[in-house]
Amino acid sequence: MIDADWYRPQIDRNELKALVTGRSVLPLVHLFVWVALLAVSGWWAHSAWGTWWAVPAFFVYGTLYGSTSDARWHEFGHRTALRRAWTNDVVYYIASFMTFREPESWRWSHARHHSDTIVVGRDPEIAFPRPTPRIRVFAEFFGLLSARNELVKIFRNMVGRPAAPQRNYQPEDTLRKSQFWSWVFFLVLVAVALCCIQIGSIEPALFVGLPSIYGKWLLMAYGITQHAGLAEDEVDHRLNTRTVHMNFVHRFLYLNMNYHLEHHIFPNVPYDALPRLHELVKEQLPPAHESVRDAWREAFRAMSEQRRDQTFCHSVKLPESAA
Amino acid sequence: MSSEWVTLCQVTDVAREDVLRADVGETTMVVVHTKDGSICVLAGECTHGRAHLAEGFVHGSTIECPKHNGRFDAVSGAATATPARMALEVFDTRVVDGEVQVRLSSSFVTGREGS
Repeated sequence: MIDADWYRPQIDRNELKALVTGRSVLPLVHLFVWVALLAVSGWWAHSAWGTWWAVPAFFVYGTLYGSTSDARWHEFGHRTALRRAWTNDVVYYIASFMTFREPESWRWSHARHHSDTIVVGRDPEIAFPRPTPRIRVFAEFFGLLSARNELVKIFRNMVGRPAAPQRNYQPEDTLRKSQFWSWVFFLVLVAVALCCIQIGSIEPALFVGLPSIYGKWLLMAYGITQHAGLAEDEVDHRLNTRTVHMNFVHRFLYLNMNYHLEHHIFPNVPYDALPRLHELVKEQLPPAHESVRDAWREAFRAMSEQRRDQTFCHSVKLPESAA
Repeated sequence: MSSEWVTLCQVTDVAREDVLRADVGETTMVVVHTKDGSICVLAGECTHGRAHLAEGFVHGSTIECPKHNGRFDAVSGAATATPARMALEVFDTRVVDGEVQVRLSSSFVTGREGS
């Protein structure tokens, strides 16, 4: 379905071009603030080590590390956040480690996700395949399944035996890069483990490695709003992707990925221009959800129904003018 | 093989740092006007997937695919960012009296006219 013609709303070419090529300093500011928040919360966590204050401190640090790195992984992976490709790539590789995704295979996986969004058998990033057991949703709030799956993938890459699904979306001649990055990930984690043993404390692992698991909850909270419970096998992103209104704090943490529908239709538009894009095309799209809770209600209701009837999906009402 | 120059458009039809679709027969191309003023003509479809680069965007002398953000150097056609990996075909191009012309083989042009 890479060749399918997906729905695109009408938009003036010059306005779209201005959104794509116009550059603001916002991504740099956001990057600086994010790194500063990680540093401050990390300093707090280290200072509080040995007291009960370490619990909220690591909660904050871990959430920033394990959840919000996903949005950085995503935006810098698209290479739209900063002007130069290599600067995007540097952030992408670091964020890939933080969110625990082997960077080369996930690049190809994500390209496929954009080609064949929620097309069963093609899209490797369907987070909630039908039917999704409750236990799976619960486990994912702690990143347990995704961490286990990624560990298996990394071990297979290390020995040069990627599994069939990975070979399906990733070109053969890029598998060596996956092997390289898998070894890098593995060696960093081994170094952290040795450090823990050396000093007789789990603290280093709470800073590097484990936050990808214990800090994953917010990523799940956001991620459920993207596609869960919507249609499969459609070539219209309006039927399988949501846009959700969020306040500015969440939009900073999530880098505007709440405008997920607009992002899927126009992946060239940098995240900081998505609110403007939303304003330009919203009349042609289904109404955005008013809150995360609103989107959750819809997604969980649909997933619950899918446990009884796998063919069920939440049906989206398209605007009459653009149906 | 003999060839001839075919006019695609006027230079003024393509803004700086923008792209225009040009079709000759069944061959679809893009005319790219780079930031430094160069005019380049390349194959129109992304080598990664079926997406027309005329819907893409020009950054300096790089053209970006609208579907997956794959990038190509507009001058050499080389793929510079994944998922694009194969180069685009680059056509011999010249500008004569404000017209963008591309060199195509005569057999192709004759075939087009005869079809």
